[in-house]
Amino acid sequence: MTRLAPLPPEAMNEAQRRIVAEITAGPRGGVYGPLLAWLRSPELCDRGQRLGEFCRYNSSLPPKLSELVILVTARHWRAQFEWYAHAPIALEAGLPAAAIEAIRNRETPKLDDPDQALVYRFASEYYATHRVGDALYAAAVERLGERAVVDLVGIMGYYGLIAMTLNVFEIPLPEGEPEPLAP
Amino acid sequence: MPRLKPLTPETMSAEQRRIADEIAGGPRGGLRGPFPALLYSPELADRAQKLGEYCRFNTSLPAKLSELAILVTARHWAAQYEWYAHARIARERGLGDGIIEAIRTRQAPTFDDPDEELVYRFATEYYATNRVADANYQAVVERFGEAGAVDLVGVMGYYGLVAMTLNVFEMSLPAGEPEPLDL
Repeated sequence: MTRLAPLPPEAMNEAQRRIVAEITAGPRGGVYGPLLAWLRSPELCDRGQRLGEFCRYNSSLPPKLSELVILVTARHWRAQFEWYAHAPIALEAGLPAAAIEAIRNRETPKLDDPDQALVYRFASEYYATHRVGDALYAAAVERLGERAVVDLVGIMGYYGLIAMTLNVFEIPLPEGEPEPLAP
Repeated sequence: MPRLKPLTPETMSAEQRRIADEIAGGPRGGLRGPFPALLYSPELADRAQKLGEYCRFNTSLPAKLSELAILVTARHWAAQYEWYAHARIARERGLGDGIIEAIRTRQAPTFDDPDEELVYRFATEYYATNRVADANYQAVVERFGEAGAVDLVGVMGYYGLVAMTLNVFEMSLPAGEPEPLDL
């Protein structure tokens, strides 16, 4: 159960109703998951979801890379809902099922796609050391370009914020879904 | 030296110039911290700075408390620039020198203000466990409301994104400034 009190439409203020209508009309199609928590602070919700729209739908990274970064981020924070929501999207975007399973189990995935291998190392090294070493940084810029590396960092940061929101407010998985990530 | 060459008005695209002017013309008064790097991806810079403006200047939390959450976040990621910039602001907003120094050196601070203690415990517990247990969660919601708890998470998450940007792109402290945080 989520920790949040229910917020039915009739209890929403004008700002909240406006934001719900706007998000519902956009690519997300509705307010769910972390945005349900953010809605308690409408201005944060509005600005946060606009950043998220970019990170999810419009960054310069192809989805096979951005969804990989999101999974490494979900695993880092042990964000069950984030993993649950993004593992199928990552699979569809071209991340191998075995690699997804390896990340879930905190094992090193075998990635034949060199861009995926690079992005995995980049995100993992950052979470392990809070830095990215010179060789790896240079490799990322050379293969992906500076702008894509900036987007990569933006995606890690944004989905870290999402993970915090999900974890703090205990946004639940659908009824009957087991938690995918072990402690 | 920062890993990304700072853009100048001559090397910026029209979009980058517009966003740089908007950031410098707002309450920040300049293009500092993570923004010279984020500007390599103009749309990301634009959306992140709008979320950041809210998190820094407009949340429902008193500035002293949001600055405290920022310092705990900077310490977590060992983000030198974030600490350097916000230790000063936190002091100006009334956070005690002894508390700032204790956080910097990873010791448990002694608080006189129970609100400060609450925010410190919430953020520290989250970074240590990726969760916030019932006692700390309930105490924060009772004191600041659900919107206040959402804002607190927003501040932590946003400044996590800022820390990543500063750390990955090695944004430099002003010449001669020693790094405040051990790694």
